[in-house]
Amino acid sequence: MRAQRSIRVATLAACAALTLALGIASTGCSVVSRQMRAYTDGPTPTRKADLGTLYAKDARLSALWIGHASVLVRMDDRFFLADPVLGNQVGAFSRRLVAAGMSAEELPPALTVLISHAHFDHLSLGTLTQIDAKVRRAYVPVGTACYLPNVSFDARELGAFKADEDLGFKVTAVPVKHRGGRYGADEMWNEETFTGYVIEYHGLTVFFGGDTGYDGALWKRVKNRFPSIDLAILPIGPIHPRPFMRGMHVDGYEAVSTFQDLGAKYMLPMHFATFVNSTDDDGEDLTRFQDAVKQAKVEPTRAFALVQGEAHIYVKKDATDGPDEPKQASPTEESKTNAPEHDAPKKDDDDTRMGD
Amino acid sequence: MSRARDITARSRAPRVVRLALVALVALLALLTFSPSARAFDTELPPPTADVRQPMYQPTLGWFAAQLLPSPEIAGGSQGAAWGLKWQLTPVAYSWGVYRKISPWRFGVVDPTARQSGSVELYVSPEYVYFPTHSGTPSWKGDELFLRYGGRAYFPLWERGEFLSTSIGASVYEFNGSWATAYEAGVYGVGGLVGLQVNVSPSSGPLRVVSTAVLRFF
Repeated sequence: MRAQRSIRVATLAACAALTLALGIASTGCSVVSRQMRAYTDGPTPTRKADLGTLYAKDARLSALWIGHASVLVRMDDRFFLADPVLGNQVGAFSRRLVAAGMSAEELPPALTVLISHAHFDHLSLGTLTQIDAKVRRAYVPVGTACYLPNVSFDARELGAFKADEDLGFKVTAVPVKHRGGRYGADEMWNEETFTGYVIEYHGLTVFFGGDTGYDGALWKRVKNRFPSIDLAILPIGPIHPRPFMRGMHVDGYEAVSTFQDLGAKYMLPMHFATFVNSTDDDGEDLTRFQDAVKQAKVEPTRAFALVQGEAHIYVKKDATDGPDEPKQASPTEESKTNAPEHDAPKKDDDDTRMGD
Repeated sequence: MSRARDITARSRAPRVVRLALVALVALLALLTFSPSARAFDTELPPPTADVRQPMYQPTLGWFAAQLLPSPEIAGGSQGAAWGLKWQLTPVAYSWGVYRKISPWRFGVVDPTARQSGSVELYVSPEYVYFPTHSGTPSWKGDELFLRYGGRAYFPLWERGEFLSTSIGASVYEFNGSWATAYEAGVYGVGGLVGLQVNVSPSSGPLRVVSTAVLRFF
């Protein structure tokens, strides 16, 4: 009797183990096959960088999605490049699925680079070296400068709700929910090495979320400090395995909730369809996001995805505005020159000043 | 007689290895928990206004990672041997890190600093075992010894994170005599894995040693 029960338990355990093994194997096969496809076929070509839209004369706030978390934002005459990764590989093995939407040569000079954290898909040592001559300053989270290569541009670390505004615009680091470090064990030493950013210039406000999990209370704090965000650039992946990802990555539904919590006018989704860094199905991130937009009854003109290389104008000039074309757009302009000061940045809240 | 001494030497060898491992563990524990170890980060240059200096400390995770040996095979006058190698890096200087960050590392060397271009001094406890050997009285058949050396790393791809190379030289006392070795290596995955080849023209038993490097910080 006892022997029969033991056999039944053993059989059940074996079945469970086999199911688990098959599940892991099939998931692993899916990830490996996508990676192998990227290795053998190379990245899928994308459209030519939409520089015409980015540099349009009537644009005050425009953005071009380069791919993954790399976004080039234009705010009047200033350019901000978030998490630049232009190479075909991140980390040891993850290959690019879709070509970068912009080359290093096409980037404007006098860039301000924002690095949200040191993970390989957000901080590329090769890319930073490649664009070194075009970068005027980089902002990184506290404890992250040690991951930078010996580039010539100036880099500054910003802690939570610390701001820097000596270049004529204001960049504030805002806390997000993610994980730090770059190589695994260094997370124990570098716990705070992740952040989001808010850029304020000429009355325009842009939120860049980097990588983040959902935290409604945190978004309320951010909204209290920055009540009129024009554009929220938010990740919508990776999704799976959800129990593991939930604490540090929003999916499309949580991204749209974040967008609503922040009270932003527009949302640009990113961090999807570029590298294989999860067990998500092809297109799953975007499908969830589009479904979330419908469910939340957000106007589709306020939250929509771009393809790699596509740009969109979010805020246009009023007819009364004077000309304020991007100075950096001219390829003949010498890089790293100090751009002249323009209108005073919008009035700052006392609690977001440097040294706060 | 020589046979008996050889057997004695062989049976004593594991005890020597155990003692050496205990010593290694004790040294690493000392590094991990002693006040001087905690001073690693405080002895770095003061932080600039813009950046925080790295605070690499020998934590338990690092400590455990250092115990992982790199397997190796050797060849020379006594035939083929297999072995294990560990590494302690008392000091390293990197010319590949950002200019506001201290180029010096003591004890714990991060992959960015090491693989992006650096020079390091190291001590490697190394154990080699010859399964077949001549069995002469002066020859034990296995030995744990220390290799003292210096090595320079050069980045090849993605600032060395994807691919880097190294050259170096070392000295060691093996089987009662000192020898010099010259080394070349290639590394990938942030220096986590690599291959080193040591050539020692003056050493009979360890003329060529190939090591599959496994190292984390």
